[in-house]
Order: sequence, then structure tokens, then C-alpha cells
Amino acid sequence: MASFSKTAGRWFHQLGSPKWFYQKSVKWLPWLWISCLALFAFGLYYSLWASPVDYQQGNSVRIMYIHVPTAVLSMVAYLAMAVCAVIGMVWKMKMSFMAMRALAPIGAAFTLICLFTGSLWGIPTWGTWWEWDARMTSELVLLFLYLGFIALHSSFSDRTKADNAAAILAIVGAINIPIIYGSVKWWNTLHQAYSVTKKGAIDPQMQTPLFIMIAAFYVLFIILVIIRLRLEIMNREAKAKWLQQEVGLGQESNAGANG
Amino acid sequence: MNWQEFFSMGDHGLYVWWSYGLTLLTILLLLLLFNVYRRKLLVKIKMQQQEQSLKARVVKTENVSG
Repeated sequence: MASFSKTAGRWFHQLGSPKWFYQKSVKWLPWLWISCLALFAFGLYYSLWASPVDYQQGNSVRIMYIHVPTAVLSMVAYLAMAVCAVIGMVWKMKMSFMAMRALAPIGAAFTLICLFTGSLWGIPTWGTWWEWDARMTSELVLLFLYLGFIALHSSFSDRTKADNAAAILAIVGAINIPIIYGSVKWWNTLHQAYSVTKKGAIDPQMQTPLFIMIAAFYVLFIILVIIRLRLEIMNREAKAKWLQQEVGLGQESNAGANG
Repeated sequence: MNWQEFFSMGDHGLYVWWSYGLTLLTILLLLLLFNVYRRKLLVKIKMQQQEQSLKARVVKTENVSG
């Protein structure tokens, strides 16, 4: 019992501790799900029904309401992963590497969605589902960076080595993010130039639903990261008594240790 | 917009509905994978806990006999 309270005490006083996050985040999730579903209800009503048809693209413009939010998040997730990698390597923060690992599959999923919605949009709009131009190629590289990160991380049996090697990949790969972002400016691409927040570039009747959908996907992204990060804590703190109790185990072991 | 237009999406129904459908499928698949992983982790944590309580008992017995 003495060792248990000592360990618990140490964790309590560490900000951003796995225990604190694990216990708090379960209370955030219902509220996040409610706001996520509410935002998607509004967002989907506008994007699929109430928003106007594009005078050139027809109804295919509705793909934008998924393509743009997932494209934004595919890059945001990678930047977050790289920041976690730096914090983890410099300050050796426990939670940082866990968050880094948790972000990878979610970033990969959003990148995949961005790529196939782009292809499905390209067929009626450009007459092709793929072109090896700078924007599309760099986004495909992003998908491979995520998958490479996951593969590299799982190729080590030693977790510290896995974290550090994968962190280096995450940091080096971050150079791809400004390339994706700038690709439509620096090179002549089939992909259109940036227009989401540009004044007058998008009709407000399309811009408003787009912003609602970006917010909805942001909340969904946060929910997915929390769920995955909780799993990462379960994986790495499997030996901790508090976690065993959290998942409904460990009572028996405590009785054994006390008695 | 009416219901007929909603389902056909002009002549772009195929692209629009595949985009939204595959997006939903990808998110659901991700949640499913998380759930499979969760079950594996619960087994791992349970094994870890049993191992620890077994060790604790062995130590206790040794202390008593010693």
C-alpha cells in the first residue's frame, strides 16, 4: 500500500501524467461526441442539401466539404506529431511520445480520405483521377511518411529505441508539410491554388458550410486522438496498479499485497 | 433541391456518394481497429496483473517461511 500511494503521489504531481489524462479524458469524451454529432448534423445538411450547386462543377463541388477538412487535418496531425517528437526527445516527457504514436494512424486515415476524395472529385472535374503534380505527389508522400512511421516504430522491440527512431523520422518528414502547403504556389499544378479563407474566392453560401465541416472534422480528430492515446496509455502502463484498477482489475492483487 | 436531385446529385451522384460513403467507412474501420486493439490490451493487462499478484504471493510466502 505504501508503494502504491507513493507512486500515485508522484503521478499526481506531474502535469500531463498518463494517469491524470486517462481519468480525465473519459469525462470529456461524451461532450466531444455530442458537439461532433451536432456539427456534422448541421454540416452535412448544408454540404449535401442546402448549399448551392457550383455553376461549373455541378454537384461534384460537394466533395469539397470532406476533401478540404481532411486535407487540413492530414497536415495538422503531422505537425502535431513532429512537435510531440521534439518535446519527447528534448524533455523526455512520457506522454509526448505516447501522443506522437497515437497521432500516426489517425493522420494516415485522414490523408487517405483526402487522397481518394480528391481522386473522386478529379474524375468529373479534371477528367483524370490522378496526376503526378506537386500537390498530389507530396500528399501521397505524406501517407507514406505516416505508414513508414508506424512500420519503423513497430520494428523495434525496445520501446525507447522505437520512440527515438520514429521521432527522428517524424521531425525530418515535417519538411514535407510546407512543401504540400506551398506546392500550388511554387509549381504549376493541376490542383487549384489556395482559396479557403481568401476574401471573395468562395461564395459565403459555400464557405460557411465548409467552416462548419472543418470544425466537425476537427472535433472528430480530437476524439479519435483521445481514444487512441488512452489505448497507448493502456499499452505502456499495463504494469501500473492504477490502470489495472481503472479497467476493473487489480483489486485482488491489492488485497494480496495488503494482507 | 428535391429528393430525386439529392440521390442523383445531378450526374455526379457516383462521385459524391462514393466520397461520403468511403469517408464514413474509413472512420468506422479506424474505430473498429481501435476496438480490436483495446481487447488485445485488456488481455495483456490481465496477464500482467495475474503475474504481479502471483509474484507478490511468492514473496509473502518466502517472508513467512524465512
